[in-house]
Amino acid sequence: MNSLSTPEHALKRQWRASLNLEIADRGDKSVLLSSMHEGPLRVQRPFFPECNGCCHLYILHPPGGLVIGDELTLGVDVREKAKALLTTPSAGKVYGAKNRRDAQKQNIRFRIERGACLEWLPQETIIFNTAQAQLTTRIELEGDGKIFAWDIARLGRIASGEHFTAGRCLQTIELWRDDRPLFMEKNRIVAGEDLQNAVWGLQAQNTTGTLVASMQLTRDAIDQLYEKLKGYEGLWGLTQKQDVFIARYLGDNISSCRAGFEFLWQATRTHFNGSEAMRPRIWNT
Amino acid sequence: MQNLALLKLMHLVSPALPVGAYAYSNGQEYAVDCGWLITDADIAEWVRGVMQHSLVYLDVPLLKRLYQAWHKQDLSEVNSWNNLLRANRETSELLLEDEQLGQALQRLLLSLEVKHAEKKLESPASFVTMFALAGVEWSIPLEELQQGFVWSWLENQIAAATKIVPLGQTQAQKLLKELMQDVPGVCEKANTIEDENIGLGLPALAIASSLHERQYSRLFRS
Repeated sequence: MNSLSTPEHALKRQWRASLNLEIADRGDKSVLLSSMHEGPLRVQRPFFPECNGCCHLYILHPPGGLVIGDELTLGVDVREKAKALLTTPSAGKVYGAKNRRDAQKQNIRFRIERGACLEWLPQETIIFNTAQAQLTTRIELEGDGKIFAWDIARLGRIASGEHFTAGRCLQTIELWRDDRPLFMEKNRIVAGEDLQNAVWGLQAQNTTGTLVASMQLTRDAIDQLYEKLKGYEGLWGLTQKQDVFIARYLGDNISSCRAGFEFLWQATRTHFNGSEAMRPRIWNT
Repeated sequence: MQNLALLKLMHLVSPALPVGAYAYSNGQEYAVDCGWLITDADIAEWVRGVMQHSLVYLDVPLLKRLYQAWHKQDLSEVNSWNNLLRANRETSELLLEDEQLGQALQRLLLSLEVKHAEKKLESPASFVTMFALAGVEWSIPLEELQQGFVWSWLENQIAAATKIVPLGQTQAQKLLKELMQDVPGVCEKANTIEDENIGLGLPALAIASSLHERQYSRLFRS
């Protein structure tokens, strides 16, 4: 079927939404310089709970999830010396798309200029059974620009007894500095195929998370973090790959993954950008 | 393939090539130590999985692109593929392994007076990058070079298993014979991968490699 013959109601079901933000340093604090949105993707009024002027922003997607043909795009430009922390009030969802193969896409692109710093600490994305999810996060750093980001995928609505037995989830994270790639990961999860079940893949577990941060930790510091992470159920891998710190989670316990990542964030915040972590209040609700 | 090219390929993939590949296990040592891999069948599944994912989506497609880039003597292209390869190495350990093997092969190619081996890249040369250069300069056809690359990787993984599991010599040869069947298919599939699909994620392997970095006693380097 070509696009000309697509019935109008089918076209209307496709919700393309985009949000482009620009954050700039204004001396005493970082401000939201511009915010452009199309479709149902918004940003709440900024908060400034920290004394370093870091701009805390909550990204809202009122429909709550992606249906067939949806494409969500978030672009954030953090200008020179600005500091921002972005999070989401609830888990992202990629709904089931039975018998369809067109992807449900979420594209995230961050550009972080010299001296600037961005934290991207979203809640997890729940991939419903039969979904065709394509989640891409591309981070571009300029000079000494810094990022602290994580991405958590949960396969199936486990709480309601639903497992991920059909569909796929392609989860990509890329980190670039000055047009040179520093880190790349592409999890190609196809329900029922070997990566989902194999001992080198997901080992039939339903939660996978990757955290990347532009900071250098010593071997001892990593050993200490690792010891503490033993208190959080699941498999943890920490590594310092040149100037990128990487943490990975694999397990069946979504709260353990979130709590472990949050622990890593709080424990390294001062090292990362000189200020104590100030937990976004929205995480309490 | 010309007879001399065949001999040159055999030289390049020989386990006696002094680059030190035998010193690395690619996460396998931790996987055995923590009890993920117990039987010969577990080892076969692990090695096959890594071959079908890591090699298909990264090393082998990049070997092709690097071969073409060296062939055109396009150094900026060599650099960008070499950088992409390094970005895709999952952990500090796996990046370091690739770097050390790459530098050892580069030194060897220099002493064998291979043209362009002296070229300085933006970042340390990956083993794949230097393997591609040897292939071009020794006129080894790309397909044979790719098969040779996968074969030598496979042989090294099985050799590691004989030390870690430990796997008996005869059993190791049987596994090699079995897994060898996959090599042509791996290369064929790798050649269908488009630029934007290059890259991989093997969550448990990446975690195994991170944990291997902190493993108390190791046979293999980290």
